[in-house]
Amino acid sequence: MVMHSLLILNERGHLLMGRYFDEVLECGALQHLGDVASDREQCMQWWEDEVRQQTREMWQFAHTANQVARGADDVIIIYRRIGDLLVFACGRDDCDELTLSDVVDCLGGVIATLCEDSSAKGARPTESWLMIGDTYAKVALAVDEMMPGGILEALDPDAVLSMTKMRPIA
Amino acid sequence: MLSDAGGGLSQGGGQGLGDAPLTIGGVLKEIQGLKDKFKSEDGEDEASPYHALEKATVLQECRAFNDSNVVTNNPKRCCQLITKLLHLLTQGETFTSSEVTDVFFGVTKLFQSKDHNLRRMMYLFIKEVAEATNPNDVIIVTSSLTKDMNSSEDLYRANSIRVLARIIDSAMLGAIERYVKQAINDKNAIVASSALVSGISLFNTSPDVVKRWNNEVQEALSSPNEMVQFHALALLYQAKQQDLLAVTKLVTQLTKGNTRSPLADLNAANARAAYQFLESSLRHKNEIVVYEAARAICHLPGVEMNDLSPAITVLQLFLSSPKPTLRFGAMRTLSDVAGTHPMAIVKCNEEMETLISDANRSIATLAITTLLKTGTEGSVDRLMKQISTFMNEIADEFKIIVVHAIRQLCLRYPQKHRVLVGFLATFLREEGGFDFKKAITDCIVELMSAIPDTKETSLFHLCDFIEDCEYTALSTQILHLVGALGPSTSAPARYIRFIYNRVILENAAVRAAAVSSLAKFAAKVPSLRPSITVLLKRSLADEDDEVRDRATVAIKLLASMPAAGDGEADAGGDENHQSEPVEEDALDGDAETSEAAHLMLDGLPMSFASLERAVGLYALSMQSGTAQAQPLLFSTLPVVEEHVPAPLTKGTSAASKPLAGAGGGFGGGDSRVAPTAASAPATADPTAELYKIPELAALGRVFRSTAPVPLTESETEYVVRCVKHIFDAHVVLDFSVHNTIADQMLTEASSEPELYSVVGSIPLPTLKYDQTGHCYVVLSRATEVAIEPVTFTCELHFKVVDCDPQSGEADEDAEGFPEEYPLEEVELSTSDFMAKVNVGDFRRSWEQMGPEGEVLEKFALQFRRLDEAVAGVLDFLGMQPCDGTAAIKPTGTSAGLPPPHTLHLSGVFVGSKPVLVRAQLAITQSNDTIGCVLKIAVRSDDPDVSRMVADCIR
Repeated sequence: MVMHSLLILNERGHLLMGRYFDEVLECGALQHLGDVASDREQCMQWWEDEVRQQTREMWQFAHTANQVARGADDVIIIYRRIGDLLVFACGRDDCDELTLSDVVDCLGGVIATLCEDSSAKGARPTESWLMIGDTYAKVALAVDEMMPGGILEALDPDAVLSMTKMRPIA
Repeated sequence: MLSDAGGGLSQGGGQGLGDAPLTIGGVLKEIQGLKDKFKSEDGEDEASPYHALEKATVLQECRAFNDSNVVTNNPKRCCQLITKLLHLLTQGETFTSSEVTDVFFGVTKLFQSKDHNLRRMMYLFIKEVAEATNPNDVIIVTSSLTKDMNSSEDLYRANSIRVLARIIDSAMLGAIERYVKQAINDKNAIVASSALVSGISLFNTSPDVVKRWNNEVQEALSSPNEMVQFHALALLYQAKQQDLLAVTKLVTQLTKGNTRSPLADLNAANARAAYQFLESSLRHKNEIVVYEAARAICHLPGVEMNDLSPAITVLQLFLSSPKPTLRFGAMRTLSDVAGTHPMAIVKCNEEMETLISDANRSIATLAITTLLKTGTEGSVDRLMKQISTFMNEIADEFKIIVVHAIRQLCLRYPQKHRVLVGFLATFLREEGGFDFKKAITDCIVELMSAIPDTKETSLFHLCDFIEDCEYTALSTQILHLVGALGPSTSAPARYIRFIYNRVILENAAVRAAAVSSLAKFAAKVPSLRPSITVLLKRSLADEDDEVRDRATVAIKLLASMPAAGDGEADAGGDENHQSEPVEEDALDGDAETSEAAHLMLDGLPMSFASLERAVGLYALSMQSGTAQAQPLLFSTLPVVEEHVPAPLTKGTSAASKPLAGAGGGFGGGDSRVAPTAASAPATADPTAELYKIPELAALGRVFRSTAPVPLTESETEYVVRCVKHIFDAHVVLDFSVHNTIADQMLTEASSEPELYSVVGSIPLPTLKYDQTGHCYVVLSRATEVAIEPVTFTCELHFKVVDCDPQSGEADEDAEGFPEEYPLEEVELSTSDFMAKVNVGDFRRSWEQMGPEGEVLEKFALQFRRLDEAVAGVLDFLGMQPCDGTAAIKPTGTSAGLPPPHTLHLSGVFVGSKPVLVRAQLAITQSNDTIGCVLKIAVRSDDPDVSRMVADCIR
């Protein structure tokens, strides 16, 4: 059950964080890009564009519930709007829509908790919130705790946050 | 990629400027004021530390890792630097090898710090850069990580295992295996999960080591923690997935037991035997378990419609869920079921129709395509009405999916072709990209061949489309189609206007296609010939060479045809627009009416790819001097098969060196030895190597070469395969030998079939370890005797010489000893003498061949299924199926025996004799015995050849 990728975009669709786990990314990109796909950066860029293209129309509806789209190579994309951020979890086969939905929920929970703990009370998940201070590092660690190497390991936001802080889980 | 996080000037910036006196100082002050104002309004008084990061600057800052004061006293700064590095990495920035090594060494110094956050960041960083780091450098951190594995801190243990799993290889895994096993059964769930997930990752590189952890993983399966259970099961399944029995046992164990994890239930869907368990899981309280159980039931192999019912009911409920992901999942599963059991999901039609208006287009498209699969004939009109509004709102790629679904629906309900083709034609005229238009065009063309009633209306739709088509490729395709089919319609004259408009209005490629199309109308419809000739004459002054050439050829050929010529000539087969110029040379001095029509209406007798290969082989045979000089005509080209046999694993470019002459006329050289079977580049054609052997030049041109047949198991000491090269009067058996023994060298290897007609052989002088070489046996064939299947017993004779496994050189005093190696029998069947060649228009060729050399036979075969019978007959005869008759059309009913299937086959027999076969296969049942009756008609110019081909059936 290996995930394909996890992306965080801002509300204008610019990439803030991208994690790619599936080697199939190159294969898929190879079919669509041809020789250019030998460059991993090009592959990542291709998938990022694919995600934007397949989901952009529904971004406005993604704040109330997780939305779903299907990308190239039958990869399922589950996404949600959390504040100004858009979180996308992509996978296929066993890593299907409901599992990916749990991943997005978990990451949403992590981001919400981080916001509550933020020094600036009343902070909301925005691009500047993510990029300023050590929030970016915390989110990156949380992603690593949730899915090291793309394999789902933990889906409880509290447990994930405790693990990022190297604290025993209560 | 990173957006501007620092805010910026917004509207209204000019207001203050307008009121202030226009001095430089005033303006600067005003700007500063505005800047401060907007900065505070945005609330972003801190710039992002990651904005516009530069790799060189970050690498420079990272030198601080070497300062122990910074590491111990300022871990936060180190964390920020690692974050910057990770940010650069995730943004796609690449580091050179030396940069990675430098940073990696710096990060390893951070182990001095006891700060938890920094340690966690280090773990993350090591994992991220480990792949790009020199393995020798990675070893440096292994000891520090091994120390962490024994730490009293649970999270140190968990993380160090994860990191080690990413960086170590199989050899090093053995050293830490003990710790990992302990961790799998650690009382702390996070440690256990980390060890299990690491096992899943390591399984790809070191499966044997991970399989040894079976006992520990089994114990973890009974852990009270849900995630540990899930990971243990995932790892167990991964380790046993190749062993069906073990998986079945695992499923039985789990279905009897009481797994607590909802995720653990997911993987239990592996066997039909688990149906009861899956069915009971449909009542689980967790919706993910319910969904996965329903999905697993729907995907069980050979599932019956009754078994599907409970799962479909659950999915039906999910269709009305407020969660889009659940609706999508249910819809996706139902869509899969619709492909195999459309009737099972008819009860969901109402919910699916509601989903057509779902805001999420992915769900709506799935609903539409599924409804098109399950819809009844009566609901087609209503469905099309619903789709037409939907189509305007979706992207082209979704539209293409809908188009394909409509094609299937039309094939299922041919009576509705008017509505469905009309619907497609409407969207042909709407906005859309090339792929969408191509999908519709292909769909209409396919429906025209499947449902003849649609031909005329479809042609008109297509003609309408090319009036305003921006895609040259589609216009030329349609013009060709109109030229092929239009003349046989009830009123061919109606199409001339559409075609001639293209001559006036379009680019050169389309004009050329239009001229060819007009010429076909003129050739087939005598009444239109004078008018079309007038139109064609206008193209004689076209600015494009190709258009002028086509017009000139057409007018000349039309002039040679009588006014009331044969208007019933069949449409051309696989005509290509380049065909006329190619055949133009053949016109000189011989322009009989039939030939003129043939030139205009028929395409090349072979595809361009085949022609290219044939000309290449022709040139090769001429160069090697194996063939006498012959004019380059279609009839003199070497026979090229539709599917070339798999290239032999032989031959490098070095093989072009001529063989050294040796006693007996057939000599040997080492040029036929390739370094390794796996690394040898595939040769373009198996016969190419043969032409390079001067001893075989006298045999003439190779008629065909068969696919390699293995004569040994693939993992024996010497792997031998045989390719049969068929000549007009000879057969060359080409034995490729691969030596897999490291300390042996084979010398004077040759293969000896026990056959009286062996006229020569070419032994292989030397074959070193891991090399593949070839030895040949030449058999003569009595051409006057009918070909019959023959089986040869073969043995490999060679001398084994001990050699140094390192250098591969033979020991000085080693003389070697003779050895024989038994091989599988080689069978030379009649079908080996048959080349798979497509004739293009089978019916026309069949009629032309005539019944003079026809042989009719009837056989009773043992096949119980039609598809097996078709495959068997193709295998017996070794011929090329034509007109798509190799595929059996689904009948739509599963009850009773299938209707008889007709097979059209073509080929060229040795001696360049074309052969055509019509075969009818019927499954019969008598006294509970199911069998197959084959009626076969073989036509060729030579009755003896027809008889030999008919006798291929065994």
